[in-house]
Amino acid sequence: MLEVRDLRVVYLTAHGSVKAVDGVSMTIQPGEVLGLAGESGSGKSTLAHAILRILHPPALITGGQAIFAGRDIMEMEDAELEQFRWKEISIVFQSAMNALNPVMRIRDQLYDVMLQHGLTKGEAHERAVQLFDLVGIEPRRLDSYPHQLSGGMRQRVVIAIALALNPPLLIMDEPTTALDVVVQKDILQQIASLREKLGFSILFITHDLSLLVEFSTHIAIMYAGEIVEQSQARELFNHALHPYTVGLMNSFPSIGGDRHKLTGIPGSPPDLVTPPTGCRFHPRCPNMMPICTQVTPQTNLISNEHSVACHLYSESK
Amino acid sequence: MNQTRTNHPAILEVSRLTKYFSVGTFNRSRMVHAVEKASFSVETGQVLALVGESGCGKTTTIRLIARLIPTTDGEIFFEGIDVLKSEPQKASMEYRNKVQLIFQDPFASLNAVHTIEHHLARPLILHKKAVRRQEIHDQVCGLLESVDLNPAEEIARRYPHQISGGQRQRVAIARALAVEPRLILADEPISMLDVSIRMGVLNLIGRLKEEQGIAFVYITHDLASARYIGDQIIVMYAGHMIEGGTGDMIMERAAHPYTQLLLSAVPDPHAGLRTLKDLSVRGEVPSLIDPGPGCPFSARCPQVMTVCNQVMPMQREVETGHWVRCHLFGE
Repeated sequence: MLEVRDLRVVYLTAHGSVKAVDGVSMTIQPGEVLGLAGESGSGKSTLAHAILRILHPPALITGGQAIFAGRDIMEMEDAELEQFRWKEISIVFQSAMNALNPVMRIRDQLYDVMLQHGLTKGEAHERAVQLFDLVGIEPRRLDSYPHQLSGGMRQRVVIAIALALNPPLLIMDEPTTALDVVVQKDILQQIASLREKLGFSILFITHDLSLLVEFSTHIAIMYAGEIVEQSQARELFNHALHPYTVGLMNSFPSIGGDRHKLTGIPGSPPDLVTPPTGCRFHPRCPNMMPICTQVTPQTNLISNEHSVACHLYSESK
Repeated sequence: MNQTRTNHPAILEVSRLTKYFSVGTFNRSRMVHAVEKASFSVETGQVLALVGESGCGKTTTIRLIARLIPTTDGEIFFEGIDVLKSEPQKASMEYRNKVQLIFQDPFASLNAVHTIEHHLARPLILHKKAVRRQEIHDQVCGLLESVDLNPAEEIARRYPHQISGGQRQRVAIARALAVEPRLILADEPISMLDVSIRMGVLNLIGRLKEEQGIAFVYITHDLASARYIGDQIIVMYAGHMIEGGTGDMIMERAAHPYTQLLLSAVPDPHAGLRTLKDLSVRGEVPSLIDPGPGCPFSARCPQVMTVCNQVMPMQREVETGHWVRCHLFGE
């Protein structure tokens, strides 16, 4: 459905160019939820924005392809893009507070995208009521302003807007990070049941790995602009291979079972202006070998759907 | 009040602590009931974890204890002394010497135009822990080493923007340690940090507790980290403390329907891959402005009874050291 090939994005800064996304490849099949996990600054949001081509300078897409239904998004003309965005792929932004316009009624913000894509006012109204029904808000709230709604409700509105044109793929960029756990769970359940009903795919971005294991069918782990491990969700949880993934798994305390000591990962994420040579994780890696400081590891397919970029699993070690 | 008594002396004991904030206009003033009759104690060398969603009053509670804001009602006993009586206007230097705060956001709690050395030297000078320049410098380096910031000499010379978020939070902890406090109030110290470095900071708190016998009040919205670090956990909802006990009591035998709701909402990969269980509870936290007399959770509670809307339940012990405020556990 969506195939990203060797995508590269740099930010031009006064200190040099930052390789925020450095040769990322991944695929999303129909009906899948691909969870993209990574820490802040790992490039996960930049990747999502690059797929929709909504990046602005100083960010620059320097290479790669994103093939959606046979068309390369990176090659599209502006007019084509305008029709493509939202109709085919839409996005739910992280902070609903910032994604909604505070001086416009919710109704008009919903209409906006639909009128742009050729619906009449009457159709837009009908669709708006239907969408609010879908995400579980009373239609009378259409006349509210964003500040009159709670954080959870605002996030539902943003999801409703993303669903307005019934796109086959939804990108969700940390859709629940700013919300309390109970509201988060409620909204995730709603998204899961909507997905069952409407059959769209999701690219789900978060820093919370424990959430992904529950929510996605497939998981990709991103570190310092690169995808270091990719697999089916259950497989990744049971057989994490990359030392970074293992470290991440070891960073979430549990509410049940033994209370053993968790170590997290020593050090902190690298500065991408001058990323470490070789494998970017090597300064923090407990299994570091001499080769890791010099050679960037290739991505190797370990089993059917499980790939990892680490010298521990390469044949040439 | 059923509080467990052990051999350890309580370093902090809070009784019926209450804070109302006034909102609204001059002629129509209304009250936000931010903290309502909170009672609890913390023992020397223990971590008390206060857990709740945003707006439940957990930050207000520790700001009251730190005496950054005046209380509306209630008592605070520190090392057996009623501090609101003995120093009613503001906290004495001696109190501040013993009670320190760590804030949530390490990007906001350090001053961008001063070096790390400056941040750590200030409390040393103010509290007369060191006088001569060399003495101050040595103590600053010692503090940095005690929070695993090496090489200390080099870190001391840097500015906040030159170190990472995790290192900044360690500096904030070192600053709190400078005056050799007995109690540290930590307001969500890891929530703004990258996930891979959170455990390092939590383990540091655990080590300070073990090695120096410092008591902590650790505030979080994350039940799992509360269980990881907390000797005791208290769950707050809409200004009320509604359940308390050890981590295992709360996680395994949660009594209050709200605690059960919170638990069911926690994503937990270690518990195995389960499908999303249906939350039976909908709705959101009620308004804290002039609330009614009953239990604040009654509007969302799946097991609500008539009495819940009328009377706030008393504290009852369900097992030794495990208490709850819920009418389900009344006579």
